[in-house]
Amino acid sequence: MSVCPDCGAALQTPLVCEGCGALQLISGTPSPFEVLGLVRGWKVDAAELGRSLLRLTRLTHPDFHGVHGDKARELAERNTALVNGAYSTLNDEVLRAEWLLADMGAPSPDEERQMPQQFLMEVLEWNEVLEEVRAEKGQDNHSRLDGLRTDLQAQRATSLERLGQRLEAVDPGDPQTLRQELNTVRYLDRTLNELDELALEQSSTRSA
Amino acid sequence: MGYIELNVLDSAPRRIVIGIDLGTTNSLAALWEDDRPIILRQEGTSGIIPSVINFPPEGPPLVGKQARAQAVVDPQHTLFSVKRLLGRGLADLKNDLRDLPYAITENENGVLEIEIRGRKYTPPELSALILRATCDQASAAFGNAEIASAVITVPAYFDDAQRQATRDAARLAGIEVLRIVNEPTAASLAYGLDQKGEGTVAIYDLGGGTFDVSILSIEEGVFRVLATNGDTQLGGDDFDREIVELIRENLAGEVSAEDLADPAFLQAARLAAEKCKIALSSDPRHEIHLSLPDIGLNWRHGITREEFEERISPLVDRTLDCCRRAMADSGVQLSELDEVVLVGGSTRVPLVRARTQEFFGRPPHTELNPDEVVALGAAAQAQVLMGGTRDILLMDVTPLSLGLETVGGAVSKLMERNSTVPCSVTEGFTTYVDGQSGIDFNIVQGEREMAADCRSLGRFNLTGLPPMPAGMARVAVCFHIDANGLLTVTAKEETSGIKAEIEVRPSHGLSEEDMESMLQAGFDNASNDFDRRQVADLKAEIGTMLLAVKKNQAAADEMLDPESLKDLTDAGARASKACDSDDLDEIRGARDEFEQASLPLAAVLMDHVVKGAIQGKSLDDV
Repeated sequence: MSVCPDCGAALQTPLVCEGCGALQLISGTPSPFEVLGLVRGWKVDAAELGRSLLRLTRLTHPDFHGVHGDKARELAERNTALVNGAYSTLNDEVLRAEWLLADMGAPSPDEERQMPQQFLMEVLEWNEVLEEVRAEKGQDNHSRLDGLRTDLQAQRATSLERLGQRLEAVDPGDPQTLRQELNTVRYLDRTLNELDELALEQSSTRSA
Repeated sequence: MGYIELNVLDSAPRRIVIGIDLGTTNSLAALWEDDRPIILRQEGTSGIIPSVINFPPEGPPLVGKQARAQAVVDPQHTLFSVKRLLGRGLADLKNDLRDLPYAITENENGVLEIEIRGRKYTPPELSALILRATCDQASAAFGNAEIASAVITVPAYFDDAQRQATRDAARLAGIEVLRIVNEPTAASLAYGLDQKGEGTVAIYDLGGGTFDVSILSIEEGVFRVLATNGDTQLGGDDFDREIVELIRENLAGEVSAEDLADPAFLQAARLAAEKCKIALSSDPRHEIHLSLPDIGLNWRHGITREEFEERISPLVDRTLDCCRRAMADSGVQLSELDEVVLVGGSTRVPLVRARTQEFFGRPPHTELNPDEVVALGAAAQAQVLMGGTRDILLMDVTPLSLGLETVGGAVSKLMERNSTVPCSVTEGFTTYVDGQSGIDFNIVQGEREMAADCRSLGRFNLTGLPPMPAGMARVAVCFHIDANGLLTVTAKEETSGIKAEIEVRPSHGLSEEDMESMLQAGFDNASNDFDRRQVADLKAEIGTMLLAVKKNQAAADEMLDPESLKDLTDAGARASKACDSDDLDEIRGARDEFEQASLPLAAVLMDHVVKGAIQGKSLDDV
């Protein structure tokens, strides 16, 4: 672990010295876990993550460094952006999984697009439901959308749990399989987003 | 040797940092004083400055109440709601253009220009006039103190171009911007400080020209925006416009189409509509009276609250759609909200209160003055930025997703909406042709899939790449949105280590050359500005002297001979009166006279202090 050049205290995070408050100049790209001072891994404690975000932001935020000149403010901007970026990566299960997969050298979504035939058939079915609801504009389709949503959310949870177990295991196994599992979640998320968008359109007071 | 500090009549002007709510309809300034924010107002006034500008045939433009008073008599030279023009292009203004009684064009850089009395003004220049007037009045309200810098608020849903334009306006007004803060966030700060409110809060902010909704969590001094949504072209102005439409419809048979489009008629109708809207907040019915002798019109017509509500209902619905989206993005359920706070003058409309209460399922919080809360919050944030306290932390978000236009015209997203700022992302680019020396990209903001449906912030043009085979160049481009919500783009070619030059051409912004020439135009009036500067300084000095005399009034009454006392009182009154004018010689004369008249007081005070200090002590002790 490196030490603060100003006060010599050990740095818990590469961004700022929690002892004397001095902002640190970053070289290279620290991992989101390093930035927030957390242990690398799939499991992240949400409360701990939130506390870490606030503790660091209170030290790095540009609001508190403006009076110390342009250099300090720029450093504060940069380091706080790193904190915010690390937080949003770790706070979101899909982004966290993406980061872990990339870190272990698994193929990116562009490099591995293959999905099982059966799953693709399912995706087509979901899209059909959405198309039908879209076509029947003005009718109350909330229960139908809610049904599909519950279904997709359950599948998503199962998929993420399987993925999490693999990522936590000593041997996570074939990177291709991990990729496919994460791609499944991405497909589900895309459909869930469309579904939410549709539900918003339907409940929009304007179309009523 | 002892040392006695004599701070008897210290006349150095105070420097203050203020918060400014630069509104569509009204502007207002506040200051942090004695552990709380206060509105800066001169005695007997509200402190509110109508955001209205009038260009008289001669002399400097009028701003505020005086300008507003010219609206009907001089409609073609009186500008309202210039905030709606900031950072916009002609295509953005479909609805607004129709009712404007002056010509608006777009220059080659996509910046709007309003022609008044043969001179063209851009929206930042016009906003600068309002900012300047707001600062001048704030300064006058606080002993003519010098305004060192300011926090300026903008609608949360303002995009990059609108924020840049606001910053340009401040620069043209000669104000150093400490920070651009989102209006609902500023309001939440004032609410949190005033009501000691904690928990999850929705701020519904419907102003004169813009609507924002922000969902925040407030906890132990951390004000964290979870999601924001809004419409920068929706506000009380649109309520007025509905009434104007109603007036036109009713007059269609009686008045010619030509007269209905006449600027004088339009301004009169606008003002009558605004009055009607305000009256209908408390009365069930209001009679509109339009008297325009020039077109032989003397018309009375009653409008009921029901009629008005029917007209504006679709507009209120639009605000609720934004609320629905903000709630969805925040991940907070309606049942988990602790409080709904209404901000902005337009939330006085009963229908707005009823519909928000219905939507959020609880009575909204309305204890705070909706006109003042944004300025108060801005002053609180100014205090934080000046190093006053670390107990308050604002974590705000960028309202719109940021992306790049891809080859097919689609958007490749770089940053999601509601990302906490500051945030940055670095994207790698390469070349497609051997020896290609530059890369050109269109940066867009918005949620739509196609770039054409989003708002183009500008094109960035990467130049100076070293000659390399296609695909070999590795250009890292960093997009950074800072704590003001403003975008900056930097680039570096990684294999050669060459820092590629990047130029961003804003779609609707002033270029650096524009700014320079406008500032230059300011310097051309430098002697004028220099006089103004001196006038301001002298006023500040007089303000401080008046305070000092007031503080020592008892001593003056007791120790001064009657003649000196009368001289002092008279000179003070004259100096105070001289501050109402802007005449340099008059003010300087009054200051000199006041200074002379205050000498006897200074002398007796000093004598008193010295005597007190050395009483019972030998000279050696002093």
